[in-house]
Amino acid sequence: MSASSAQVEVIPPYEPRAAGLAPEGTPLLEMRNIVKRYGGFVALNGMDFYIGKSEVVGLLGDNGAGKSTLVKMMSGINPPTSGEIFANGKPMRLNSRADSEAAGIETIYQDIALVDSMPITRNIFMGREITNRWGFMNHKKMESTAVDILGSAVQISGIDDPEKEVGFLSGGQKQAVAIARAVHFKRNILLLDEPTSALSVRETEHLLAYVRDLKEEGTSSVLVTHNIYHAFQVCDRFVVMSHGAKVFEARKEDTTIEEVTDHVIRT
Amino acid sequence: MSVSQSDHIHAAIAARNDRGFASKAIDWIRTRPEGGIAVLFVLVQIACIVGALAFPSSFRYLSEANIAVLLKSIAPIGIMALGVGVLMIAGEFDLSVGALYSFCAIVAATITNQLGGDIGLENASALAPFIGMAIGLAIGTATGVLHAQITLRFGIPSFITTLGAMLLWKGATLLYHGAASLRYKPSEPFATIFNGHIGVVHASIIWFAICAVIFYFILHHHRIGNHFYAVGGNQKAAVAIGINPGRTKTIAFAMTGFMAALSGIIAGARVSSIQPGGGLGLEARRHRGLRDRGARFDGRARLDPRHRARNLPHVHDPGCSAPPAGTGILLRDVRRRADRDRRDHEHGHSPQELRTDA
Ligand SMILES: Nc1ncnc2c1ncn2[C@@H]1O[C@H](COP(=O)(O)OP(=O)(O)O)[C@@H](O)[C@H]1O
Ligand SMILES: [Mg+2]
Repeated sequence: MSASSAQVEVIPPYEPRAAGLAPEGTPLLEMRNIVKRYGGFVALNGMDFYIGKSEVVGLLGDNGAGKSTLVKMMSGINPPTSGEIFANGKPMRLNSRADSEAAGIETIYQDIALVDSMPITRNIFMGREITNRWGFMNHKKMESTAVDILGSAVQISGIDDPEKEVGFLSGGQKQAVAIARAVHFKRNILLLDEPTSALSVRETEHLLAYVRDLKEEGTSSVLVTHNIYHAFQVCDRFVVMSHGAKVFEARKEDTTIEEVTDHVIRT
Repeated sequence: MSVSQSDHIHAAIAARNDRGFASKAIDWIRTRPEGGIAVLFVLVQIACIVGALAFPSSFRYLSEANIAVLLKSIAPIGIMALGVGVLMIAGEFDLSVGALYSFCAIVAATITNQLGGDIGLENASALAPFIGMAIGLAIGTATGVLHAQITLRFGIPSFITTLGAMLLWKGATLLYHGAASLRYKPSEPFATIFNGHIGVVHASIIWFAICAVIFYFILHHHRIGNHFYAVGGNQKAAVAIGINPGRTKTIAFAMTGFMAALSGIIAGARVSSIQPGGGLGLEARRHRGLRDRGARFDGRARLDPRHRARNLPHVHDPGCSAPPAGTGILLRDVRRRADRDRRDHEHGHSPQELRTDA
């Protein structure tokens, strides 16, 4: 950082632009040279990103950097304008939620993605109802599963009845329901887009511990957060984005909180 | 992350299930929107019944004839409302159901008559009314799908799409059949199935009840019902979780079209004829009433104002769907003019010339 005084200061993110790390082995999911345009606005500009086996990736960057755009792309609801995507080394498409579901990707969205007018149970099983073969729902089974989910996955404060409408919950409780839902259905990859923004300290600690446990069980995660200390508690690798591109990438053992913070602030 | 976390949830569920019937009912009224509607309905009924008991001669609410008419008038509107309700839950709206109601009924009646399904014929075809009905329902469903495609493909608000569609199907009805009313007296067994009675209970009410039960199960117990609520409640969330909103809304539009057609056919079978304007409001009825009394219908009619005032329908025709907003204004206007004419008449002025919108 502190450039030799006589020379023109080189701002670090711009020196090894193509930097990034090469994945070790075949990543679970790899995206190369991704471009996403909204009309004339370029939200992702040549973004490279990968998720390895059993790792937690911290995705950092200022607001508007394109983190949520990338997360939604991996969830299949925001297809790229151009670029290549590989799952376990095989080319694939992410054009719909069905594609990402097939790849075992589950997401906690930044904007929660719950329906206020529906009860907690119905929200958890929205689109994935437990039904008989004619499509009629098994309410008993959904309710008992919901109780297990709410009780075990993330400890959610003050939710006592899974039949309560989500609209009556507090912001943190809503976020907790969204987390519980994603955690229940997760398979290979869990994407967490600012999941702790409304959680209490206790709930946050619990979630971070849970993400670490998931890694042991073989589920990789991507954690989007503005709290670099949280990221340092759980992530194995950090990717810093700015203006739709990757500006810094390092493994935890090769970097420091100060360095990562500096890249987030200065770009 | 101990499993014991679930304990207090289990306790809460047990407490919810252990409530007495009264507290369950009160909670339902307090928390559910339909609870409030139910309370209001009961209050109105109580008021009417008390009124009927207090003034048995002037307010014959409890007379058998009135109850029969009430039940009959609920059925077509109710059947149509089931479809429209599903569509509204899914977050869209269909203004054209009234026009579709007439169009599909006219098609069903025309086909029935063409295939020799009129009960007045010797050896009338028993099958013809069913074929006519099937085609009418198919057209209603297909029309719903069409409305959905236009709305969703081009991202037009459904209010706008179906406002246009309303005029289109109104016009299609006139093009296909003209403005005259059409005889619709289907042969047996169709007549009994859709126009029979069990006591005061008309077949149309039984059909409404059957439809209501089916819709209850679809909305609250079938996967697609859950999707209707999800898409209508928060479309972004539904998309994020993998529900296809286009498909879901198309199904809702199709159900609405189907129910509008069914409503039109059942209402037509009950009154044995179909008015091309039947689903659209009261204009057609009013004009018919005037014509029956010898009014000249060349755009300007000279009428005895006492006649006119009496002919104006004060009670909504049970067989009709709700009239479009404009009709009410038109009616009020005509009624006011009629009142003024009557006053003039009583004061010895000659009746004014009245423009009718024939
Ligand atoms: N649907 C959209 N249409 C147009 N611009 C969008 C859309 N979604 C996101 N953007 C823009 O893309 C940029 C990146 O947004 P986002 O990925 O949400 O940022 P963040 O890194 O804060 O999550 C922002 O400038 C945002 O305004
Ligand atoms: Mg974001």
